[in-house]
Amino acid sequence: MSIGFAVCIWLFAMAAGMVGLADYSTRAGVETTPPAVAPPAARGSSGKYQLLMFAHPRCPCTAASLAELSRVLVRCGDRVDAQIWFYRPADQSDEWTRTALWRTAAAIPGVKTAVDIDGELADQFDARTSGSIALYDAAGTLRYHGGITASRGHEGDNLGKSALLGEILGTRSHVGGCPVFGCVLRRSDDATVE
Amino acid sequence: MRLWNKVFPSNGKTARDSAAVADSAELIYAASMRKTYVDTDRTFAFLFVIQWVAGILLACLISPLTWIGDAAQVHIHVWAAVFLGGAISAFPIFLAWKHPGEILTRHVIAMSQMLWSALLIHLTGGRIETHFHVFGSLAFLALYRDWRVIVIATVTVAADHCVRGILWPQSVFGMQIESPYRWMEHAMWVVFEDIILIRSCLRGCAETREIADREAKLSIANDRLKSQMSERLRAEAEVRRLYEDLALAHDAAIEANRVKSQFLANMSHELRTPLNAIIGYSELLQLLAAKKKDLTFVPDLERIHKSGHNLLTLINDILDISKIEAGKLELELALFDVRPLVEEVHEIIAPLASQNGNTLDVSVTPEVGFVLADSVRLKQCLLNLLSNACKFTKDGHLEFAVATEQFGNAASLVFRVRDTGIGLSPEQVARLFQPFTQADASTTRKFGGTGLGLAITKKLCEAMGGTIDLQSQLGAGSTFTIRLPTYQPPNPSKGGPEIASWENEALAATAG
Repeated sequence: MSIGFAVCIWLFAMAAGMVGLADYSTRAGVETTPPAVAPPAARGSSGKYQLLMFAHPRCPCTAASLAELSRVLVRCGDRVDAQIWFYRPADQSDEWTRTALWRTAAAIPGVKTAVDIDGELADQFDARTSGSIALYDAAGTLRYHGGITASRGHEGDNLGKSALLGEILGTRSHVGGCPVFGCVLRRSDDATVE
Repeated sequence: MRLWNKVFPSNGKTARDSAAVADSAELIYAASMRKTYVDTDRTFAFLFVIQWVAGILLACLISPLTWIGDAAQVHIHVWAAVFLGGAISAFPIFLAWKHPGEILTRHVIAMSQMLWSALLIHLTGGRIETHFHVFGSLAFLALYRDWRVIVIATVTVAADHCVRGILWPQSVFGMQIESPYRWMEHAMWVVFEDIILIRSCLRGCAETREIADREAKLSIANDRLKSQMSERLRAEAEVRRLYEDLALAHDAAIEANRVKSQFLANMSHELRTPLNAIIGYSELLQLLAAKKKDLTFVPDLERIHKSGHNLLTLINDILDISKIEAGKLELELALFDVRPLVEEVHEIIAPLASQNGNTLDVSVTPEVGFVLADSVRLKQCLLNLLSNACKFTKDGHLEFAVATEQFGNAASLVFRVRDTGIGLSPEQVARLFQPFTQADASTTRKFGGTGLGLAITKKLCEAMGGTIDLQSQLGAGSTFTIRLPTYQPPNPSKGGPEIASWENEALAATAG
């Protein structure tokens, strides 16, 4: 086999590997739809937007979601009450959720962190992928749902974040959901493994 | 450059030397560049191993596991770092090991390095800081000093960005809809760095070529110097050998001359003994013939007597020149009055002068007095000059003048013999004082002689601390001048009685 041919084979393999990796990176979780009217957990009395994020405390991709949420709240934190619900299996203690992600989330100003035992609340909001967000207005109407990253663990401007900001700031209205990139929240869910 | 000009002066060899320098410089340049390529290949091979390990560690640190509820498995980034990263590194490492320095190797390395940038950016979740790996890698690749490597790396980056921009625009630009040429904006920043790096590569190549040119010139100059040094050593050895031969020949010549002189001295002695007998018996027979008044054999006896005398003179001359050349001439210096010597010489030479119808004037200036010399040898010199003057002048005039002359602080006693004879050409004058040399061959035939007289005279004058010179014009006569240093008494004002004392001093000096 000539060296030139070997180079061609190698190039093809590398290209395939990089495309495969990029494809995996942009493969979103299962598309879901939260309730159109806010359940009691998403009802606030402050007249602000109610933002709920459902996260897996050990999902590496969710760090990017938290970073993007932090940026969103910097711009419009006074209009939003944000809650982040971390999944915890029923047979684990709360310590299982006290990861770097938890600490990061707790450090974001105006954000409340809580434990979602066995993902029961996530189930109510039909959230199956870590990083899923549901935004309700003061009247309890669903205004946005989906993710706020461009791909798995990838920070930066993206469609979801822009839609969320546009909704809260009132600059534009978003119709439909955006893809969510992250780990599967509950084992019972028949979702794609990262 | 000065060394170059010294070793290679401008001549017919210049064109050939320039071609040799150009060839040598090209070889040195190629070797230097190849060394750069091989060294850089190895550096990158090492770097690929480091990047591979770093990539795996990074993946394990950032995204070790992926989760489904409470169940975990190894994250695909870890496998990507292990296998894709391994594949990215392994092939260029193999090429650097098996094909170091080849153009394909460094191009594959360039592409691999850019793929590593893409993989690391991916593993770090597209962090903007990781993008600096692209710019750092380009700077590393500039170590090759090959602008084509920079270009292939840039093409790889641009292609990766272009494909990602088309297929997954949001992951690259943060938007779903973007201009199809947006990727070019990102690529232009890489090209911006490329311009600097490519310029640096070209300058590096130019400097390497310049160094190669200097090295080639220096190398050839060194070779030439070594060759010249070798030739010089050979020449020096040859000169040493010739000197040794010359010294041997010189010693042999001195020994041969000594043997010859010894032989001549012995032979002269052996010849003079029977010759004196011949001369003595011829005189005796002439006396007997005169007593018996039998004149029958008188002319023959006179011829025998004359020939014997001539032969004796010749033998004496040969003996003298031999002694002089052997350094064995012994002078008997003494302080004597010059006037009686001049009178004696006048008496001897006057008949000879009249034989050819010449007139002879002899003059001695009043201040002429004593001289410290060998009186016998001085007389020999004067008689030689005067007899020559008589011999080569016919119906002319001879003048023998003795005087003192002052030259600066030194005074000389001057004996001047002037004739109106045949004279000498400048060429003849030049060789006249050499032994066995006469004016020309016809002189010997016409006037006889051995050519030793003037040579002996010159040597004797010099031995007595004097000189002899000659002014002559062909057909107009000659003037021979002998100069001897005068002896100055310690206090000449005291007069006669002091003469005895400085005569004694002179004798004491001679004896010493």
